[in-house]
Amino acid sequence: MMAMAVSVSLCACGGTATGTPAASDTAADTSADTAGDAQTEAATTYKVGICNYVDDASLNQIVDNIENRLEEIGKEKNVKFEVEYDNCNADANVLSQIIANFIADDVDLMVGVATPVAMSMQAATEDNKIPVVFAAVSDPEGAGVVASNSAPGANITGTSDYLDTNAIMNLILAQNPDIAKVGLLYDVGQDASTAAIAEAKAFLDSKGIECIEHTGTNVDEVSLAVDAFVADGVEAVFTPSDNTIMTAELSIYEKMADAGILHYAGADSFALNGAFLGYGVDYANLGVETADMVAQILVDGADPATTPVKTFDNGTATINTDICEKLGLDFDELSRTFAPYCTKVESIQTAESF
Amino acid sequence: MNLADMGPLLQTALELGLFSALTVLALYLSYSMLNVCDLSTDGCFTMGACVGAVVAISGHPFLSIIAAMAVGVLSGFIVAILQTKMGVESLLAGIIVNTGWYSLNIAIMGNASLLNMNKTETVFTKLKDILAGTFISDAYRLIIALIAVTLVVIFLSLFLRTRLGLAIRATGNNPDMVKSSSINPAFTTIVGLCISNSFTALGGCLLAQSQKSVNIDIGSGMVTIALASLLIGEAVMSKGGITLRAVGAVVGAFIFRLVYTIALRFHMPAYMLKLVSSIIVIVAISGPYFRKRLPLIKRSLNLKKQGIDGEGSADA
Repeated sequence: MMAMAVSVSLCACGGTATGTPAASDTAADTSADTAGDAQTEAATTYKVGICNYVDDASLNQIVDNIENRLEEIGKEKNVKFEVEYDNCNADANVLSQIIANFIADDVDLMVGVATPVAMSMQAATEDNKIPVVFAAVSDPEGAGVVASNSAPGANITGTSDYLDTNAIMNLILAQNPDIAKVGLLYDVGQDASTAAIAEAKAFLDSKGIECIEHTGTNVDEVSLAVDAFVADGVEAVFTPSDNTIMTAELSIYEKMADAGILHYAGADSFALNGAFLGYGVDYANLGVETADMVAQILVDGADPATTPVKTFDNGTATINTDICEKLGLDFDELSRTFAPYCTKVESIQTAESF
Repeated sequence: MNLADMGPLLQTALELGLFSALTVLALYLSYSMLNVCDLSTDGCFTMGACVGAVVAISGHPFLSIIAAMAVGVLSGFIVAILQTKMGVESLLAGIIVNTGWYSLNIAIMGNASLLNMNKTETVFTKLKDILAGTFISDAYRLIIALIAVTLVVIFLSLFLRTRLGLAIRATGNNPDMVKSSSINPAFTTIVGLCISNSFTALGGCLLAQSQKSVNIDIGSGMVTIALASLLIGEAVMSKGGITLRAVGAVVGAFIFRLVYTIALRFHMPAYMLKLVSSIIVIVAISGPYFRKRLPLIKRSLNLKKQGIDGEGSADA
């Protein structure tokens, strides 16, 4: 019993040390800034529980931006946001435990990053109606977390990184008009991918292009799927904003580049981790807008049922210049080819995180 | 952490404890009675959860429970056949089946590693609708868990007193004696494992449906938790008949969940959960072990003291 108590208290020390320092900073700044006013303390404190799905560049970028923006809003509106952050590392059992902890801690609002977290939060807040703001759910209506994007209808709303799949398909055709085989790489269990893959299949079928699907539920299986694509001789592979593939991207990008396969994906973080092209929303901005929505609900008293889901212009193509070099393609030429189909073309080099 | 927090925490611990108690009772039959260490528990639990989810999603809430139990019987049957007829050693048989079930479970879920049941009709949603508006409307999960556990305890206490039940208990105790009494130990092992795995699968099905989601890792670590709960229960209620020891197993499950929940309230990061489980298991096994050996340890310490102080007399 003694050993257990000692180890548990050691863990507790570790836990609180990694807790976000943002809340204490906000309090100090607020009192310094408003020294001249009659009020010298934050008027109200709001407890916000943020749960991240898995460690990947996009999702971490979202969380960082949410936390920073909440701090800013706290200073502007003279309130304090006490943020509790945890990461379930794609383990659903841990996810339910984290949500249960948030509810037991009496949080005023929960933020769920990615579709699986949003769905778990929906089930957990069915009875207690704690407001939930989701970030980066690709298809909120399709996943069933809202009744409709314009009128969510319950205690859940948020921001969506909805992907215009046909736009990416047009990019693939623009780069290689005679393409014959396209691969679809995704995780069947990720609700975020379902609609995008169906759209991609419909588009490719209408153009008479052969499409081959391989799926994986973890890094090993995704690796095997990529080996299968190499053996099948596909010329390009499409991945929607799928978190499982994103976690595996650093392990598979070299294989694809060596085989001359162009990897088109639904988020710029894929390009960061070595995919040929990432097309999608600006996740930093998504984080900021999510924090704005949180403040709207908590501070301004907006009702999640009538707060529409926010979508973004997803027209930025991010091309990885290292992969371009490897594949023998010219970045400037590509920019010109893609320009009609996107709002912006940017370049990026391979790295682990932003 | 004050007293006001304890209420909902106790309810959660009781609910989860009762769901895992089904698996604990399964291990009570297979480990305590039949003396087989069934390592396929994780895979069978997950399989019950997956089959239950798939059948419930396709619109048959009550059939899902029966389907899960049937799949549990099948799983137990295969493990038992491997052990008794195909010459595979019992620990290995469990591990092999566990590994194979990982692939089968993903296939059952349609190549996905998780399924959501947010909008699915299950026994839980049905009971919630019936109880809506009454003062016990929050306790619908608890009620179903209690009903399931009570039924299983009653079944076990009656079954283990029948001839077949006695034969199963004897097989675990002394297989050679059983053979010489012209009872087929292979047969009793098969029956015992089929029944125990059906309870495990039932536990998986109910847990997944109460959580509204099933994922491929839902059963991971279940055998550790169940064995720990069983051992805690034995430490708490070791003397007593079949029924009392079965109830002790359920109490052990609840105590395990309680310690787990309290440990989690110390704000440690979520990835520490598995370490907490391991520590609880170690304490649950070594605690009673040291308690048994305490008289011996005390005696040897006394003897050493006597040897140092006095003339080292031969009396013990």
